[in-house]
Amino acid sequence: MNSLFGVFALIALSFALTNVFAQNKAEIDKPAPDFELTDVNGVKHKLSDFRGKYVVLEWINFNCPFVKKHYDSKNMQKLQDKYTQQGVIWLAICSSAPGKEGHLPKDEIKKRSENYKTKFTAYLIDESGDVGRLYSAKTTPHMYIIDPQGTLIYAGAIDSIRSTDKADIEKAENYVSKALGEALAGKPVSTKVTQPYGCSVKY
Amino acid sequence: MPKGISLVDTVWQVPEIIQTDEIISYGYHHKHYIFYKFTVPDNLENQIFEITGVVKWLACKEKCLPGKDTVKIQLISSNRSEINRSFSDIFGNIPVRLDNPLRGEIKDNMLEVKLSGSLNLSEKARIIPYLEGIIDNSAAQSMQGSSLVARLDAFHVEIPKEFKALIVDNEKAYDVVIFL
Repeated sequence: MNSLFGVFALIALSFALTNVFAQNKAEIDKPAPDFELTDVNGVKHKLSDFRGKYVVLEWINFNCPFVKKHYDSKNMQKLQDKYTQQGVIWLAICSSAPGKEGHLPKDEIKKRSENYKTKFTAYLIDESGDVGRLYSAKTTPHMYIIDPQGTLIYAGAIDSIRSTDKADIEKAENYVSKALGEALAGKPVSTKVTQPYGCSVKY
Repeated sequence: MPKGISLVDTVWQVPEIIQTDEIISYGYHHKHYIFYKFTVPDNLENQIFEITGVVKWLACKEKCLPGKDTVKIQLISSNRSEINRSFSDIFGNIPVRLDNPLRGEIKDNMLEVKLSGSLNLSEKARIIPYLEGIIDNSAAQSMQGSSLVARLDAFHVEIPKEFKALIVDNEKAYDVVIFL
């Protein structure tokens, strides 16, 4: 009896810790797997609560040179600002495990977000990496777009030039902007999948 | 690049499999040489010419640090070739090109590559398509009979009917063409 209770307690604990229930991994043109994560201010955000709106998921690691490229140049903030002003929910997600590169103290996250004048809706902390794995997030940045019906309509890179050079941003085709522009105009997304580039997610 | 000289190909050495936590990637560590093949027109024989290149790299451990530099090299064109002995080991570390293409099949989100009889691979063999986004590089791969099986990337790109790949097995590698 004791061992049965032990197993039950373990299962219950596992559910409590992850907040990611048994779901299929994210796939393009399929319902985006639901999750609940807490942001840097302690507020919980559940993906399904944003049904009816476009949602952008941006995997982030402020220490990654590829992420810095897009924040130092203000490219990411401009995108965040442009689309959140149109009602898009923009969730930055950090899946770095404690002790790994990019896992920052909350005060540091707030400081950097303030210095960068970020415009994301929330910075979510995914220490267990469960949400990252659910979405097969490989790099920072790695971008996803979910439509108002909850379908994943884009997964991949932020843009077409795989470099850390800020000068490349202007020359690159921004896939996120293109996909959001098409979707918001009621058109089908023409490029649904691209290969992400950046630093590996530090699970 | 001086007029008349053109870059034909970049020759990569057998990459190392680099595993960081759950993510597997491929690359090199410490000092590394990359070879370039050039064609030189006949009228440039026995001449000294200079090639300038901009090199960009990304060196990763805990952090990834980008680097960029300009390199210049002076070369003498000649009608005879001789391999510098200090590079002979490195030339031995270049993938072997297989003349006959291999047949591949996509089944249940898996890529199955049927190996030819002459290619005996160990259980450690891994396939790396040159076109990124075909397979999930971090997923386990396995030898099943005479086939090498790899999981497709969760967000795989459109897979061409013919693509080039590298099959790495311990310290050897084979440059292959796969037909679906």
